[in-house]
Amino acid sequence: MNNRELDCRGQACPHPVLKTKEIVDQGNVLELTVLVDNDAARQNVSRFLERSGYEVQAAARGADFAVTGTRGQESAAITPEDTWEETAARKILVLLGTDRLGTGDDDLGRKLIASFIGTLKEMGRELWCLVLLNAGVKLAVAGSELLASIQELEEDGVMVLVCGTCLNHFQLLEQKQVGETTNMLDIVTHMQLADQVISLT
Amino acid sequence: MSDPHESITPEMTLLEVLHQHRRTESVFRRYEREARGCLLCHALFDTLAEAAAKYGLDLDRLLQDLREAAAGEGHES
Repeated sequence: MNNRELDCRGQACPHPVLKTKEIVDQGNVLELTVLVDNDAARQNVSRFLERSGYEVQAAARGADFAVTGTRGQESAAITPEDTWEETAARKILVLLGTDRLGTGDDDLGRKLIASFIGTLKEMGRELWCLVLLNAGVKLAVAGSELLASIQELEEDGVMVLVCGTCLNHFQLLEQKQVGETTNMLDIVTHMQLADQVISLT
Repeated sequence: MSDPHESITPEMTLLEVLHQHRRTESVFRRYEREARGCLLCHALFDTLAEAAAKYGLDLDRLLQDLREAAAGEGHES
């Protein structure tokens, strides 16, 4: 059992992440709280801990943020204002490798994917992550009819990951309007962390 | 493996590069103006290739600058 606290206030990226990594790399850290004072550090430390297999909770602590990662059987003392990660029973990752659903008629396929995205929120808190790759990235760019729906999901706490290689391939990097541009390692890591992966390609 | 020319590749994330070669931080900072944003804030988990594409940077030049900075560290453990 090894709980640690790290004070990274006053430090800009990438230092909070590098220091967090140093501690995580030591192994046997079941709970780690990292204090940061800027949003970029909060996001990056959270993301790093998630990638390292931790359940992550970020909470305001005065003007600062306390990012707490837990893993193993340990369960940290949790405040009532938990982020959805801690309250969800399980984590569902939906991978969309297409901008239309099914084969047979493309117009119907586009309608179906619009309906699918619009209905995804019915998964509730269990919907953890939406990954868009290949033509799926077209859903996340300016002009997409589904942009508002995906932005709504993101605002509700769903992590939206958009394949950077795919955006680049379609020359849409500049047009992306929602989600985080990411790489295959990140996508694979999130698939590994998810309790259930639903793949539509 | 400690040769920066071999150890810094386009497939590495910025975080991996920084972790292995701390002196590269100044290079990423230098590219902030060109990228019009904080690479170390917003692209830490991107690969160098992805970050270059995303921010319109010359990947070959970035790699060269990173390798030069890393080489300046001397041999690393």
